Amino acid sequence: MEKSDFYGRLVLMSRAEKNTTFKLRKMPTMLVSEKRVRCLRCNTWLVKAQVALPHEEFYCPACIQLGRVTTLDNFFTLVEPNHFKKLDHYLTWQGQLTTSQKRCSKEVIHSFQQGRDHLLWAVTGAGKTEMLFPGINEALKDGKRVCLASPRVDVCLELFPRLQAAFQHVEITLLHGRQTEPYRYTQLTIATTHQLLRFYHAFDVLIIDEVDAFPYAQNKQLLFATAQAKKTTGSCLFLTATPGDELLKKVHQKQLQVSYLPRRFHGFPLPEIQTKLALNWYGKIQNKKLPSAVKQFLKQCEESKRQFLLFVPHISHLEFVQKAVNQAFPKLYVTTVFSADDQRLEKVQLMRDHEVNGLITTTILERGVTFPEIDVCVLGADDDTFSSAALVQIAGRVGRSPKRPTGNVLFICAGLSRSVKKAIQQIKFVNHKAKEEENGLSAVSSPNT
Amino acid sequence: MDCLLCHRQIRESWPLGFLMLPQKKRVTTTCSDCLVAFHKIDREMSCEGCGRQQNSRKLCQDCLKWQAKTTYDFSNRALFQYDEAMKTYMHDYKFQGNYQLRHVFDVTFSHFIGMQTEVDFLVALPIDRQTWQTRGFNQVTGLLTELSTTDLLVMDRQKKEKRQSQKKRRERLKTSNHFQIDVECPEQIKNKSILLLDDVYTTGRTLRHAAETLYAAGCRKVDSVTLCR
Repeated sequence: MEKSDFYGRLVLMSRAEKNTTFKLRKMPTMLVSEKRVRCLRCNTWLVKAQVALPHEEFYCPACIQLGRVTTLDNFFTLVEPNHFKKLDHYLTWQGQLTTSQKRCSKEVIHSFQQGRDHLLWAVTGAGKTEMLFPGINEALKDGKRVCLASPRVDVCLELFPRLQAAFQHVEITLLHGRQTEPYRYTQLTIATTHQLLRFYHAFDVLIIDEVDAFPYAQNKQLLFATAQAKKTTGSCLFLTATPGDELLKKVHQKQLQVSYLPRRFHGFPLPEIQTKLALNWYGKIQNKKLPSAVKQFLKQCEESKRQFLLFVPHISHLEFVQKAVNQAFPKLYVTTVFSADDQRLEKVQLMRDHEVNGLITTTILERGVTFPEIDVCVLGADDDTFSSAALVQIAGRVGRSPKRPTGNVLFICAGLSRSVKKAIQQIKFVNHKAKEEENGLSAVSSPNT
Repeated sequence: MDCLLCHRQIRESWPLGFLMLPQKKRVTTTCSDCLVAFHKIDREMSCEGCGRQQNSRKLCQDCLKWQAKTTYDFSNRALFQYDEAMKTYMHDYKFQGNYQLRHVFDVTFSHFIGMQTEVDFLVALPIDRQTWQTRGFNQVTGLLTELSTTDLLVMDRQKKEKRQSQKKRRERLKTSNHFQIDVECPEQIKNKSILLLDDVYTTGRTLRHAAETLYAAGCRKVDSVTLCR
């Protein structure tokens, strides 16, 4: 292995390994206490009896997907030296930012320079990625090591070509679970948040996209990974359309700087959520009948020839709903998409090509995918599977195109749950912020959610 | 308890009789949705020589070849088919090294071994020193509960040589014998019957090497049981 492979990384090697050419820093892999052991890569506490190997050795099943951490091994690392070749120009992107994007990117640059954490609250479809370019550019110029991480592989795969196009002369490493190329030491890295577990005090600037997305939110392992991958002097930038309570709390306590990007790139407000009550929607669907609100929604779509997404809480509901829709609207061509679907990408492509009128899906399509002019309906929006973040994201699928910046967002539920209420409130709040910004008011308060 | 394979919670029923007459309840480690992916081998429909699933009790092609090549008596029985689900499981258990996963099959496998005809010694196939250093456990003994095995064999492989699982079929069959007898008094295994235990029977090369070594040391009868074939 080369020396640079160890810069700011945790490399697992057998503890018997004798390294010859250069000196490495050796660190233990696990902390063994009386009854429990702690994995020093993912910070999980484990009960000794459950993770014991023969001969008083232990391993960590929690992060085993990244290669097994055992007491048979040691971590080897070298301090991140920021050995990067200086370039004349980093940013080759020629586009223009809107005024509010510019304002946000200035605030972000300021936080990077101060080495502080920052939250960027940008609505779905605000042009977050472009807005990052100046910030990344400044950091690269200063010789800083930068990482852009997202909980979702699809997002990383989509970001990579966009960043490569914007920084044509900068080498970028893309890291994710299915990656076959070996690791390279580069100034700019794009990675899934899981891959951050392999780093140790590596990045001066760590940008986390979609902080509220599964599996990052609520995953202590990944939160630990973020803290550990960042240099102690580094700064972290969280991007989200739907900040969770923890982040908002930090904002309230002034531990976290915050910038708002409440306007979509086309300048129109987010479509607001309409709710309809349907008490026994599940029972109806099992009898292959649609609640009247859904019928009305689909009828509108059919008449105006708009495409739609119909969300259901569970994979098991997909079949019933599809049957019910087929029976009520034989002319509409619909198909189902779910996480374990082998043809997921093909079906999404069918939708893009206007081969189907609509998709019936679970939360898997809540973010990342963009169809220009669609309407959205959520069946059973009060179900536990839909968090308020998911609901805001789902509502954000609508009105993405400047050609049709509005659209219908219909939630059908048996009662208003807390997350539905919160989602409605959050959308109202950002639309309000957008108006405030327009009127030049800067007095900013966070929502009472 | 969460399922070891899919990590979802297992919903268990607690029958009334159980509450009234407390007894030791077996801990369920794997949910039924995951378990249906594995297929047991039907004894009546398996090869007499290696235990693979087929249409009759006749010897399969591979076993006929073995019969022509070898002079000693040896047969294997297996519990599960080595299909996609089992391959994934073996990958996670053995090669990724998730030792917890032994609990998916340990009770079933040990019960299966217990049902075989009585033998003098149960011998789990050993692993070499290097594997002890990297994997840290013997995948066969991991799958056994409350069965006492005897370590009659040791395995000694040259450092550079590939593992059986990394080789092609033809290479595997050419492998030389790495097993040696490791007993203080060779008399104690003379004329004894032995049941070898292993995780997978693929070509049969490894198990037959072990059997040859034991026959050479004077054992009367050597057979084997594997988790899958």
